[in-house]
Amino acid sequence: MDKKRGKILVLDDEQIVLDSLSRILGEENYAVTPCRAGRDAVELLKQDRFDILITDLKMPGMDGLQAMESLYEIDPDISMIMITAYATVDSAVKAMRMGAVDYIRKPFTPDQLLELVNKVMEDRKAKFEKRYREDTFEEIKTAISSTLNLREVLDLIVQGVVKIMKVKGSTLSLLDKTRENLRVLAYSGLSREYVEKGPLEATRSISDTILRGKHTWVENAVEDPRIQYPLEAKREGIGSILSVPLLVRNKVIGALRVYTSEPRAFSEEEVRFLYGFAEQVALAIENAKTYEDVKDDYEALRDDLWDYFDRDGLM
Amino acid sequence: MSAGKKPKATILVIDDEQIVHESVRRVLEDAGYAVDSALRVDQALSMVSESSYDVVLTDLMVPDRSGMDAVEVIVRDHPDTGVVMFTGFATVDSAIKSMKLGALDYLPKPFTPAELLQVVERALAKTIKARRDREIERTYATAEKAIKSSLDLKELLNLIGASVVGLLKVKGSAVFLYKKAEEALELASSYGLSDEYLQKGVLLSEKSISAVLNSVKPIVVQQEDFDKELQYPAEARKEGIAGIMSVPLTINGTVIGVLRIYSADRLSLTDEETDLLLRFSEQAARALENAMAYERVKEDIEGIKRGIPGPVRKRIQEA
Repeated sequence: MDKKRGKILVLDDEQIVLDSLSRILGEENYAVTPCRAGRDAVELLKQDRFDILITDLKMPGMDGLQAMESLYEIDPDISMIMITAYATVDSAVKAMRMGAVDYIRKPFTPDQLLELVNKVMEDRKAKFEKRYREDTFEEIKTAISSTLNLREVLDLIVQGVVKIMKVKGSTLSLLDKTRENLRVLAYSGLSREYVEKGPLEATRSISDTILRGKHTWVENAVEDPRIQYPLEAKREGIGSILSVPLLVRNKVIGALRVYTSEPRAFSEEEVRFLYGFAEQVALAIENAKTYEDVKDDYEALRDDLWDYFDRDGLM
Repeated sequence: MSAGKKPKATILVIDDEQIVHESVRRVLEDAGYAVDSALRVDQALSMVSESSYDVVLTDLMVPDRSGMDAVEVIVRDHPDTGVVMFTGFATVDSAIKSMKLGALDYLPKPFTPAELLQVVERALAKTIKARRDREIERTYATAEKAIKSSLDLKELLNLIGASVVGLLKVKGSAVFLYKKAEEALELASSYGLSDEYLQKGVLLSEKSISAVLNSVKPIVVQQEDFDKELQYPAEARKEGIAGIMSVPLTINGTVIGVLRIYSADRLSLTDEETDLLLRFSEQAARALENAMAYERVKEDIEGIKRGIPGPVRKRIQEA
């Protein structure tokens, strides 16, 4: 059997309404739990998680607005839709103020209902994906700031970005001393062969844009003339590439790239997220580099000392 | 409005009828609000761009543009301003549409002064809460970025102290670092507190602060418990402190120090503020750990250099 598209709690005191809603939504592969009293709905929600509540307004005992209030308190993430044959401005405003996503009049057609429910499910998906990104971002930020080991920091960044953005792969490159070439120092989700295909010239348009502190989006890596290695991209199965600069105190130190397997656009939110991520990790990279530099100094000094006191290599 | 008194909030009313403006203005001004009027939506939107209003009340049917446009633009472009629709042609559809767009309320005309005031007060409370939430998130993001951008221990300690005071709007803060050798907490930095208070005496065995070490949980001490919980209750009162919260700074469950915040009033943080403080403390602990590691290597280098006589150092460099 197919996986259910979502779990819907339907609250109405009339059995005939429950039956028809269960049938309409059930046929579209939603899991419907019918329920005839607000009290029962409260008990059900305490035991189980639902995506959507569809509730009638006028019911004996607890009415629809009271039910919404109690249910929202148990699960503020539940999406609530009010349906009523007695639509009034007052109840509509109250329902919306209480956080209902919509308020519809009976009678409605099955298509109207399904269109609304499908739309609510899409909005929920977007909301939870955003929350997943934010939570994972927090975890990864903590992991990154827990180490000053540059290798570890770089690996955590590329693995983190693949996990959060649910993309095929990611690379992180830093500018070399001449500031002419971007060298890939860490990658995730891509083959070594692809990553080591050759140096990226900073003078090519994409790197050039990055160096000016702007992001670039390549929709189709195989066809885009700005891509230096289209054949390799094709072999690797790469669709789109989004690159953002890594900036420390407004100076570009490198680039963070994400690769998708299908050509696609990136939402404004994804671009904004990647910028935010790059901003945070650039600081971690800088700190790790500073630390490694001073550690190198320390080791060099220690070695020099050793050499000085033991010039003949006797010790 | 009575002259010289600060208004409770600023309200902009959009309506094409002068009589509505007059009656709404009277009710709101009597209640202590500052009220501006606009007869057209475009005019109102430029007024909103110029001065930030707390709440906008808009009619639905305005000659130049629909009040719905006003709702849409204000919600999208002016998140710090709340908007409410009021109309003489109230319908279920326009009520739902306006609130889906983000209107905080919908008020059918005619309404009583009490109804108007209730709607405005409720909208204002929501607007202020949303504004504060966004502000605190922004402050947090800036603070977090700041403490991650420095490996300099002294600078970092100051940043932590100043950031936490800005974040929670409290009187002062202090960071104590745990010294393993002495098995004691040592004051590393402070912010917003007088030198006199800080030099009150040895802080090492303060009661509530050692409890944090053992419990690894935040501990709040309000003024009525100062005598029982603090080593220097009189000094704290003299400093004007009424509440103290001690938050452990931990790395993987090991306490490396304590972050303390001092409040001039009884300390009452919302759940969100407490969450934010704990998140901040975790990031601060990581940043401190990194800065201390950096500091140690630097000290090692200095140590080696100091241990070598000058002429030898010169010869090493030449070698």
